Amino acid sequence: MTRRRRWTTSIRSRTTLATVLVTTMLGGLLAYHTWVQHDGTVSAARIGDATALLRRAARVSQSSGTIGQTLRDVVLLRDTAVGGAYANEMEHLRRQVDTLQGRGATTATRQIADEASRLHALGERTFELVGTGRSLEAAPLVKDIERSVDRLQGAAKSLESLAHERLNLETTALRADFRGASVRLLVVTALVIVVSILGTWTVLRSFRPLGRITRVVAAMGRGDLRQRVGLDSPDELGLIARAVDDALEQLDSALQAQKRMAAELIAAKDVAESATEAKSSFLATMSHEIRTPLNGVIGMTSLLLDTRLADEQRDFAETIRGSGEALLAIINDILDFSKIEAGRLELETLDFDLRVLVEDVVALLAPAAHGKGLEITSALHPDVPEMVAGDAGRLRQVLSNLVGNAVKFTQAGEVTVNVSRVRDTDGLVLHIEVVDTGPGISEAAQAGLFQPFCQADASTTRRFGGTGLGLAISRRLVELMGGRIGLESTPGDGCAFWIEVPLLYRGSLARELSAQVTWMGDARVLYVDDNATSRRVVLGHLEARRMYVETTTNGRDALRLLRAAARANEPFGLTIIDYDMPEMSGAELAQAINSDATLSQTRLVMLRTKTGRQGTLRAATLGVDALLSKPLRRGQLYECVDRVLGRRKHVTAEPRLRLARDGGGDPDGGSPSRVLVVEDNVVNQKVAVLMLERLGCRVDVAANGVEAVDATARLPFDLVLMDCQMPELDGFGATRAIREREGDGARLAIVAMTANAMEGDRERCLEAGMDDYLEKPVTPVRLKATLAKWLGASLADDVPIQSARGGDGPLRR
Amino acid sequence: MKRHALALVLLASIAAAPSGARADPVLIAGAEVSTNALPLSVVKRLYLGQATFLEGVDVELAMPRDGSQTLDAFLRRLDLSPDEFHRRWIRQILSGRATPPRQLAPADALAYVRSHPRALVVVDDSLLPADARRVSIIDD
Repeated sequence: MTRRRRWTTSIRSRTTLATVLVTTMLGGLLAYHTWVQHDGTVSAARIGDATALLRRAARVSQSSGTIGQTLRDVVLLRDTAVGGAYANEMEHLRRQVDTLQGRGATTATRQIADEASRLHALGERTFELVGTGRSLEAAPLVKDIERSVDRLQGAAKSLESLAHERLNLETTALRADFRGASVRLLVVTALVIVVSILGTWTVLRSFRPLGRITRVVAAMGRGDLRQRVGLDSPDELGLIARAVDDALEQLDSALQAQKRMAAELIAAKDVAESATEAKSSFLATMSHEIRTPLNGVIGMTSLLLDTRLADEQRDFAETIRGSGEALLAIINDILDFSKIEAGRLELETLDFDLRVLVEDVVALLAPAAHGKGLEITSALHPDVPEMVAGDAGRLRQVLSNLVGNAVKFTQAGEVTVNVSRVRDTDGLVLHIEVVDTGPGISEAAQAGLFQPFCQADASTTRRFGGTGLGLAISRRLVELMGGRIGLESTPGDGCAFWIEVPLLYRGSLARELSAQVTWMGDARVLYVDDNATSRRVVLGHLEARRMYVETTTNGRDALRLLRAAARANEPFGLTIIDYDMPEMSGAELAQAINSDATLSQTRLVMLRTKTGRQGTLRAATLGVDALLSKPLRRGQLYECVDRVLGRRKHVTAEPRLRLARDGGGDPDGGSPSRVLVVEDNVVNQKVAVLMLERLGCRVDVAANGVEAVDATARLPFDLVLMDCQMPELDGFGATRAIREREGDGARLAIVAMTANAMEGDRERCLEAGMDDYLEKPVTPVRLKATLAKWLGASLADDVPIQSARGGDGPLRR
Repeated sequence: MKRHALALVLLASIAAAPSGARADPVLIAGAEVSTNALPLSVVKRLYLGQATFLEGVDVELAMPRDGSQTLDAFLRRLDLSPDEFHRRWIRQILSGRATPPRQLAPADALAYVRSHPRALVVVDDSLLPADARRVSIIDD
């Protein structure tokens, strides 16, 4: 609705009017002030004139009196010297007369002037007479002088009266002016006050609704949207009030809508959370349900492969085991991805040896690499600390994935893992790079490489298999660690995947370095290997121990160097030879060295892989002092070099730790360890029993928690492997019962053996009183490691160690 | 011998100087004043303004100016100090009872006498010609 507004209804007009009125009044007041001030100034000047006249008249009177008295003294004392004041007073008098005459001639002024002249003449005559010794002649003048003085003083008095009169007149006039001015001022002031009050009232009246608007807006600020201004006025405040009311209306509506939406969202969130919960629970259940039979499939296949089989049967069995392991890897990937997506994956921070981790990963994948004829190496930059803290398991998982991919996609050449430290960062940030000489990845394919279920191209899946989740999981894990992942690749020129992850470092790198750097003697070492990366790695390791090392790429050059050194009487004390070299193999080189009498001073160490025929090589048959397996671990290298150069008693580079078998004796020949397997699944019971027996244990079986509690009460077990989900009494309850019974007495080692792989399962087991956690499917390697940990049993070196994720290899006879 | 003679001359000059400088006031009179001698008291009364007629003639008195030795010597003759003489005259003048004597320069005295026949003037005798008529003052 359009409102017509008169100009008087506008706040602006009212304010302007009030301002104009007040300004005009103030201007008038100022003009009036100026006027009164001018009048006052004039009156003051007139009063000043009258006062000055009064003063001059008095001065004339005073001067004439002084002059008369002076002249009288001169005459009476007959001495002009006493008339000293005469000249001054006469001068004063003359000046006063001049001033008076300058202000206008009046009768009194004229009289004063005439009389002053006369008095002056009398004075001069008196001085003349007295000065010429005629004081008696001067005496009659005294009378004239006195009369003259009297007349002067009379005229001065007249003048004084005149001045008084004028002063009175001016004062009276001034008083009258002041009274008039005061009255006028009072009137003007009253007018100003009235106008000001009117103006203020007008303005205040205009702005009175502001308080109401302010209260409503303040209430709005507090969240109260129900109040309204409700002002129906045609001025600007009325407009504002209506705008505020409209805004409140809209806000209220929006808030109500928002509340409805929030309620719907909360409901939807609850539904989604329930769904997620159900999904997680489903995943955990499914994981358990799938892993349990898989455990049986893989375990039994491994056991089957340890029996006598025809070639075709072995092939079938190996295929079954491979398929089972692949299925397990896929399930693990999906489970991991689900956990990450659900935000339920939590990282842990534990101290670990970074070098061991990297070397473990490389060692884990070395068989696959060596099987394809690939060289695989790892190198840590010297400034990388080895003892760090972080989630070693997840870092290992990421690194295994990257190295596994590199091995998987590289057909020839090498795979190298380089670990360095990112400079210019706070704290420790590691840059781990996995470089391969594979086909590389095009730029287009790189874009979606870290997305789930995505591989470089569709054919990759068909050719190499895999879920396409590995890199996505790696990316999420690295990001969870606060790091980043990326790659650099040119098609046809290999690929370099890298991650940068922050880790904690609590020690001192200088101390670590000083601990690593140990003097290893004066022996000169020659390293012969055609692979440049291996040469760089071994050179780095040995030089870190301050050894003098020379490298060469082939047997012929090696022989030349060895002979030249022998001739120079500086023979190499140790020659490390790679077995697998073109032209002259390591074995041929060893043979050539052994057959040359001049080279008898050099000790020989052969590097070989564990795959194929090389795995069966023996040092004695090769004529070398020790064998070292690739990929080379730094610790093994140092130990081997020490031993070969005579610093250790044992010469075996790969210590053969013996495992009790065939009769169940432990490594020291004592009675076998007694282990209780608590497992409700018959297949898994069988797998566990067979594995444990192969490891030299005496095994008993309980089908549920009740039986386990009973068995542990009756028999002296060294270790209990406890399944968690069982009928009647589950593993948690059984463990709690056993612990309760033990009280403060001897504690039985209980290791959980479960297919539960969700976050928190491990904690639940430890909370229930278990000591360790063994995830299903139980593999021979992990089982052995667990036994070694809790029973002190040792591992046999001929049990190949494979990826815990990818499944362990079978126990071989 | 010559030195002793010079000293005697100087002593004589010094001794003679005061007597030569000393004023010797005498009265001279105009033609209408016929007397040749006046008693001191008459002179005193005339010069103090207590009397103005002498032998029937209203005399016109004159005397030397203030500070002259002749006047001082004259006043000593009258047994008056200059101050007292002056005080007495001032009182007379200001009360309007008498007219004071004229006070003349020595050089004017004779001319005054010639021009004023009733004049009686005190002058220094040394200034008078030898044949001038002097009025002697006679002690009472």
